Amino acid sequence: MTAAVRIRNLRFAHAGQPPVLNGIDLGIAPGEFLGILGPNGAGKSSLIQLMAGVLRPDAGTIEILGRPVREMRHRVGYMPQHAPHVRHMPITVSALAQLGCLQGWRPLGRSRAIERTRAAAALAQTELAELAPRLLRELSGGELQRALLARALVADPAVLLLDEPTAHIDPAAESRIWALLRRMTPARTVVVVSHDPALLARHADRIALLNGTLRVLAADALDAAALQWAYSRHPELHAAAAARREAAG
Amino acid sequence: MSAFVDALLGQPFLQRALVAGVLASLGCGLIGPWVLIRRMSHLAGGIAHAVLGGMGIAFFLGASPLLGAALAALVVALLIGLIHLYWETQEDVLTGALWSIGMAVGLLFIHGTPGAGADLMSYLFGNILLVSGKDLLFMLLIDLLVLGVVGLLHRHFLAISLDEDFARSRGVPVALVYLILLTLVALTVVLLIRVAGLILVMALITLPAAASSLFARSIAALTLGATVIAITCTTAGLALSYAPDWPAGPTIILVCALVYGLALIATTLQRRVIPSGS
Repeated sequence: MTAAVRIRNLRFAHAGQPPVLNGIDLGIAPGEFLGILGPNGAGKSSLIQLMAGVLRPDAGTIEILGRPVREMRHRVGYMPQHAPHVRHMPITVSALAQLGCLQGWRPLGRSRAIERTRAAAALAQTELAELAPRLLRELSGGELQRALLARALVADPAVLLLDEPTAHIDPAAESRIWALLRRMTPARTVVVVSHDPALLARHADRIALLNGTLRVLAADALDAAALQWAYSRHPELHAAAAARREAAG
Repeated sequence: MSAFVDALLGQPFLQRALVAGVLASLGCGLIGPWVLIRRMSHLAGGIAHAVLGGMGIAFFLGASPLLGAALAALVVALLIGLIHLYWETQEDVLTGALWSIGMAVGLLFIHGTPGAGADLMSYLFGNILLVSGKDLLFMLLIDLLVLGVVGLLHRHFLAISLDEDFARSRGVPVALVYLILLTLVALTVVLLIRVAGLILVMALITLPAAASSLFARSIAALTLGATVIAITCTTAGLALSYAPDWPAGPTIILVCALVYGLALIATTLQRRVIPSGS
């Protein structure tokens, strides 16, 4: 079976800095829910940006459904870590979602009507249909995150890549988004970067621990020793991660 | 006001001024929203002021100052775009430096050109009453170009303004789209020089769009609102300045500021009286 995502011998460094990712190999099966966990600076966001084609690797290859990323952008949905910084501007939830139809210079839809239909479907999936005419500034933090998820879903991606989708939102909104993501599989492959081992252990099929190298384990095998390894360069983060996991039972 | 209307019917220079105001307002309405959304008023200010370098060289060579302004605006827009893309950490300093260097170059060349000082004032602060038929054609061509490109690429502009990483993931050529947007800002600056002058041009680009953003619920409404507000302000400024013989450019800018201030107060009061969600 062709992997949804196949990474081989990946190396990446930010300009003028030592490699943040080196010798990374990873295969993600179609329909799998993979969590990526690791300390700050371990390269989690870089890894997901490389999969999304936002960054280019210095060496190695990344394939989506057996083809290079640049040829498969239309099958990938990406939700960046940071929300748009122009919430003061008159942009509606529907207009935001429709931007997911862009594909290079051309939109995916043959007409604006098709794009509006696609956006409406994605907003329904993220339980935001009633908020489509609202301005971004009128949304709560959780609603904005779901609107960004809808934008990533508009192109009907086979692979959904999300970078800390529930950072800085309240627990109720967080639970709602994770439940939505869980429902995306197995129809889609979902890859999520998170700082929260408890949430990943509960929702993901496998967890990729990133700390200089990559170690992948089944979600139910995430224990204190694995967290100790993942946060070995950052004992204070390990303690916080372990506490979060214990608190979640 | 009736003196202005009477003069408008009989004076071709005033008719040209009125048309110039409308053409300039169209440029403001099309580009002002993107300057606000992309938060690039500092960059646009850098382009506006650095344009004096091109005008000074044009004066010195005996060429058209507006042609010099257009070339300088395009060069500076390209430089500012490259700075944003490759030296982002130095963007603030380098844009400020370009701002000053352009003005310094312009003033040196104007100093070396006998008789250029008188024209200089009309380019620094604008003189809409001196607009010629050729200027109007030049402004119309810039408007059509800006209108066409914004019409084709407005969603790409929105995508890169909201979130460059997401735009890249969709295969949008972010750097090229950004350079095109900066080029349009540069052309709009040149479009407005005759009306407001390069010192005051930023207010004409940003204030109508800022006032419109307080009420608009879509980018299309923001653009239309900014255009209508700009047309109202340029026409009102022109009319107000006529009888007392005030300079038109500064009067137009003050009308823009007044409209923005009133809009801000009105929306603030409205939100206090009718809190959101009620």
